[in-house]
Amino acid sequence: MGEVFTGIGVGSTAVRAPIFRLAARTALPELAKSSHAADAEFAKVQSAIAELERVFAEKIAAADGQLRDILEAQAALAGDPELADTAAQFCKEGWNAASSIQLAMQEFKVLLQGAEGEFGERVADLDEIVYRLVQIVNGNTDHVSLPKSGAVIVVAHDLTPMDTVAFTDVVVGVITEKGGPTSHTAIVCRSRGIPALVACKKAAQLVDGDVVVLDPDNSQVIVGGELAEASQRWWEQRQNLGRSLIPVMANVGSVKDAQQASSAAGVGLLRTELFFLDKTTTPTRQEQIDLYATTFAACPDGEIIVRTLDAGSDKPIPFLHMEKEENPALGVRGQRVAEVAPDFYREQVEAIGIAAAEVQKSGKQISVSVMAPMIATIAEAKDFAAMARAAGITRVGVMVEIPAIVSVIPQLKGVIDFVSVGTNDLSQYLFAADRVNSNVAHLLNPWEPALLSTLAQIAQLARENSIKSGVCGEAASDPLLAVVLAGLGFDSVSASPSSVADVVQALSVVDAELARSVAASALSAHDAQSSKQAARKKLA
Amino acid sequence: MITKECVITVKVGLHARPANEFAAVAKSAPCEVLVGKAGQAQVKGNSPLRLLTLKAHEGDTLVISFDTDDAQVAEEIFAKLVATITE
Repeated sequence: MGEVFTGIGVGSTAVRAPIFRLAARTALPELAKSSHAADAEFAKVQSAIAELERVFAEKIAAADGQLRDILEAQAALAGDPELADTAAQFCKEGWNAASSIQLAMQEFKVLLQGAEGEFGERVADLDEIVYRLVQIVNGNTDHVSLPKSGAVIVVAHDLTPMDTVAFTDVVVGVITEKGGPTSHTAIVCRSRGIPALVACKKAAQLVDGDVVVLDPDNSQVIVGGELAEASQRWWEQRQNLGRSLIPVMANVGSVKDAQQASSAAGVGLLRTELFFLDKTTTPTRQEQIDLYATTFAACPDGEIIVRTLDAGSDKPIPFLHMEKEENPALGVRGQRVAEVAPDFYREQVEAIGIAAAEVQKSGKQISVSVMAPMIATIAEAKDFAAMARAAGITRVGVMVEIPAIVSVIPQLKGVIDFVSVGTNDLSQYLFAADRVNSNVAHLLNPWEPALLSTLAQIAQLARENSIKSGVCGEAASDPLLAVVLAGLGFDSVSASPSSVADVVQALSVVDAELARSVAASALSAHDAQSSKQAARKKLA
Repeated sequence: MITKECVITVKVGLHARPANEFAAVAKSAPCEVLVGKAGQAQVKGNSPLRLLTLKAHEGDTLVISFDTDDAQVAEEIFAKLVATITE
């Protein structure tokens, strides 16, 4: 096996092909004043914008799906009169056309500074527009010349949607140094079914013409490797035992989700936030009953675990009038809101109970439980359980997201019936890594040994105290990780509706003993990457 | 000037397609449309670039102002704008 470089994989099919390096972009020219009249320079700006709009229109016509959406959004930014107007000011100050474009866009980039996630990534759109406009002003042509036939894996520092629209069927894989799981490159490759590896820091070391295996499932590229070294949908290689080791439920946030979850063994997480985001006044009890009843009716048969409203100042609900907070992730969120709006929460739980009874009366085989988000103390769990039981709900649980609650699970014996782990928030609080800050995103890998060992502790403490345990975070949507969770002793997992089928398949090819040994090997690793590899190896 | 409020419920927030559609509606309006996050400065509603700089996410409340005294006109544009940023 040759040298291995890692990154973030997109897609699941491995490919083997020679590397085709795209040439690096030329640097933008230095800012300079013009010896011509301001009007003449601004005329160049205007004609460059018109030309870029024409190019965009041409590319948009050739694109479809998400790529088309992205190009249309970029075209609208390029054609925004605010850009031309701002550039006109700089032309008047004596700057040449190329400099005026750069300076004008800089004004908008400054306003986006500090933006995280998708808004931070939009800065790349603005850079792309400036680059294209300056190329046009300076009379440079910029086109990607791919081979006419054969198959190549394109390697670049970074790619823009306009680069990717030029990709023909010759491109069977993509590797970039930059980018993340939600970057344009990842989105476009996912929608076009092209396997990719983004954020591959050592991509610059890949040599033009070298044959490599791009293995997105294992987030790696193997220089000179063979396809057999890459992972396939591993559960398809093993004998199906006919039933899932533990029940696989679905995470649902709307009636549409509920309809897509028909193959799930119930609903492990019914989020109620979406029902309220657009309400400026408190919904009446009857409105709530109708909402829940409609949703329950669309759910698969089995248990439905409803999470009470999980609001916070980062996802405010207008009628709760929540104050702005410096640090919403550590503020009044989840169950803590119930202390400032107890009436709403009591009414919500009562409405859930009434709606459940109505739907059951119609003959549908469901049982409805409730759970509270963001529980930190035994007292909070007790208060919630008392309120829910008073409303006639027989099965009550709490979410485990805050590390403080883990060690006191034994004291919850007899108080609650189940715990459900939200792995995303648990990671955020365990690793002190803000979920919305992409600079610390690498710490939120669900394969991190510290998270796995905390999960093991939760499952064990729950079991010892006759409390059922489940995982409803994103981790449960990963088929391999779901096997680890079963091996750690969780009683159920709840995955996104689109992942349920794969997770069921994966859990149907392992028995309890194998799952335990997979979990044990993942637990003993020293980092996320080797933890995943160790788990995968056990199933080879 | 007539002012109204609504909450963004599209997942991506106010950029990309929702921002384009929002700007297109504002551009076609018979009066100037200004928009900002609650408690913050407003920008021109017809500019995708300016909308982007609001950094308005799912769940944020938008304050939209219409430079008109005609309540019916404002209500009509408001309904169209809300449709671009809600699901």
